Amino acid sequence: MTDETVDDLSITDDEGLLRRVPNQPNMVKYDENIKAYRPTSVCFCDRETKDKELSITLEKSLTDSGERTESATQNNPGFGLARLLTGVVRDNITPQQIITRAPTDADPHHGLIIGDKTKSTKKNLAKQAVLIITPQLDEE
Amino acid sequence: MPITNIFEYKNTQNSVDTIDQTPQNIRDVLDELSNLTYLDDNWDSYGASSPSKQALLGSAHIAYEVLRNDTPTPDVFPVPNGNIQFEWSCFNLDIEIEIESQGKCHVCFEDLDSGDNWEKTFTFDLTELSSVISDLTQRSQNEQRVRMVN
Repeated sequence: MTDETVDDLSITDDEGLLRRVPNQPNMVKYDENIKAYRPTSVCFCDRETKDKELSITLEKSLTDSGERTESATQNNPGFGLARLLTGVVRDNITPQQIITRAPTDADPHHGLIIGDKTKSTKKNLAKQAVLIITPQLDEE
Repeated sequence: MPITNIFEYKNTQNSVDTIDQTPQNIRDVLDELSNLTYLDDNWDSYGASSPSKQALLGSAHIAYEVLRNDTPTPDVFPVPNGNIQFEWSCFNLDIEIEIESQGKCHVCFEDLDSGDNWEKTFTFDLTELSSVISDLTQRSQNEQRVRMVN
């Protein structure tokens, strides 16, 4: 990825950006301050790029191809799914983040949220995310 | 003697072998850490590393160093880079401690009451971090008192 990478405005502000949420271990916590369950900020970390590039599934691209939103977890049974709105990521998160398409052979709907991410950035992403599929926890 | 696992670390903290003096909140953290030792690489489906031994032992160390008996138990999560994170989101405080090793952790703090927020890396001096956890503990005690009165 080069520094010339630009925000792809064909991905509109109302589009969903989907990020898988592991179930083992459970990566959802109860946030007493906002009285709601939400993914931990750790769900918005990327090891390879030191958080600079965060992989997501572009929801509109996925559904336009005839797939259901839930299919973003099809290779990971039991995983949950969190949705961020593109406009929220563009406008409410600092430092500035940009959204790009980055299709791969394995995932033609793959995209990236690109930008430096401090711990606060990742926490804000977690707080802005909506859990649309709750991870399935193993019975103990 | 090098410490090679969580249980060995726990034993070094108890002066009497036959009586487990570890507070419940630290025991809960150690149990969570033990569960994380079984994680494989790519546990998040995005290429994560399994937790590193330095991070696991560092987490046990920091739990003993900063948690008081009455401190609320943190949520414990693996971080894709191999670190471990403790989190509290309660009593209008957001505290995240990302532990790299016994000698290094990264802290994100936010007080929703005062608006105070900062990020810092701590090495061996955990005085300021202990102070933050003391504040959290105090708030949890105050809340309990209010509940008892009401």
